[in-house]
Amino acid sequence: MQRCVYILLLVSGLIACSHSSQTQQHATVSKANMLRGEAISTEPVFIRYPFRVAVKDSIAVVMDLHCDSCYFQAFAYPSWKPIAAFGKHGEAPDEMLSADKFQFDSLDSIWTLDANRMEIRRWAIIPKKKSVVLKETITLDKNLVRTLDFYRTDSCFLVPGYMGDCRFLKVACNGRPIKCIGKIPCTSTHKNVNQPALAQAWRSFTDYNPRNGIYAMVTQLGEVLEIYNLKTNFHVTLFGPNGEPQFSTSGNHAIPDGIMGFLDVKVTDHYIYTVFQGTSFKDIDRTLQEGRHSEQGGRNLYVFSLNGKPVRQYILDRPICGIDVNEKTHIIIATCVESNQPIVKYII
Amino acid sequence: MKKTIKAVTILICLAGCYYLSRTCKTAISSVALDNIEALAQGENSDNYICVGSGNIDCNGIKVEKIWRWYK
Repeated sequence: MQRCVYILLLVSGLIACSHSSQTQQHATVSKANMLRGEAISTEPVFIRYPFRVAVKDSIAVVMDLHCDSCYFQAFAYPSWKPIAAFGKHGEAPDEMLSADKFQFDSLDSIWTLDANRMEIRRWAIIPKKKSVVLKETITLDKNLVRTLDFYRTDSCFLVPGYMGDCRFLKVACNGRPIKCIGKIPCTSTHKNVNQPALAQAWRSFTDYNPRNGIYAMVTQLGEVLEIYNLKTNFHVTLFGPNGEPQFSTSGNHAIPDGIMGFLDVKVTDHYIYTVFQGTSFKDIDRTLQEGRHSEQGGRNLYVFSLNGKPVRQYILDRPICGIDVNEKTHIIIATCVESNQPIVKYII
Repeated sequence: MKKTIKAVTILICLAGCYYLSRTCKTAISSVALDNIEALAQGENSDNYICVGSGNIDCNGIKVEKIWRWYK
């Protein structure tokens, strides 16, 4: 009997050690640096709402959230000469109903997510022929309901949960969910609202770095950063001064309240880079009711260590949405929806 | 010998419980699924409207703001 107790204690200890989870209020960096960018034109290509950008060697890809014709445009980098557009908007089987995220791994592996069609597609860019070819289409399982973000790893996809029962899921290469991980780290009175509405309010942008195992999630509403180390099971949730997402519900739907929070996240080998907006919906309402334009994008670039410690804070000269970070060259390429020159280059 | 077998069995059971506690069931009832799909396709949206052009997901379109209104 005594031995059984020892074994139980040993196992409990092992479990506790293997899964450390923390919730913290993150500290702020006392001094913010101003950062001035260099605007880059993509003419003659018009990009209506440049939301995401990724650069790999001599190619850059930009995602247009509200495109006229194609959701994606490939450019030569750093000349920004257009190569080809792909991901045609439309209802035909080979067209896309929406573009929500993309991942640029290599010339023959550009993964795109169409949340409305629940499809992830792989494309190949052929710069010499100035063309882009569709290589494969993966239909996501119906049980995922709706997927708004993803990361493709060597063996699976990581996608945030839409039903509220999992914070994120591992999804097999055939689109079927295989593992549910974590819970929404909700602390407020919203604990009792229905789970799908809660998950919508906690809609997050994500990024993963397979070299260090860090999977980071930032909330579009509120100011929450979650860091999972998938190699060590370390997990930390950091709440900024604006706290968790605020919302009301209409049936199973979340109506955003509070503030517009993060816009993008990138995990590099040493840091986590995030774009933060912080405008309250009250201010947005007031601006719109006065017939003025409400600025879209964030003017804050927050840099965290891989365990969530704030390292640096930059205040940008314009609002940006998506970022690509190159730690070796110290160059950040960003998208700006408020200008006719949709690309901005920052040196940090 | 018996005690060792007992200990190993307990260990396996505990490991199994731990694994199950971290792995959720992904199966959802078909009714719940239909409801959520209807929402994603814009049905039942009778007391809010999707406004403007932005990056907030609202029934499959990307909007600037979701406005609640009352009947």
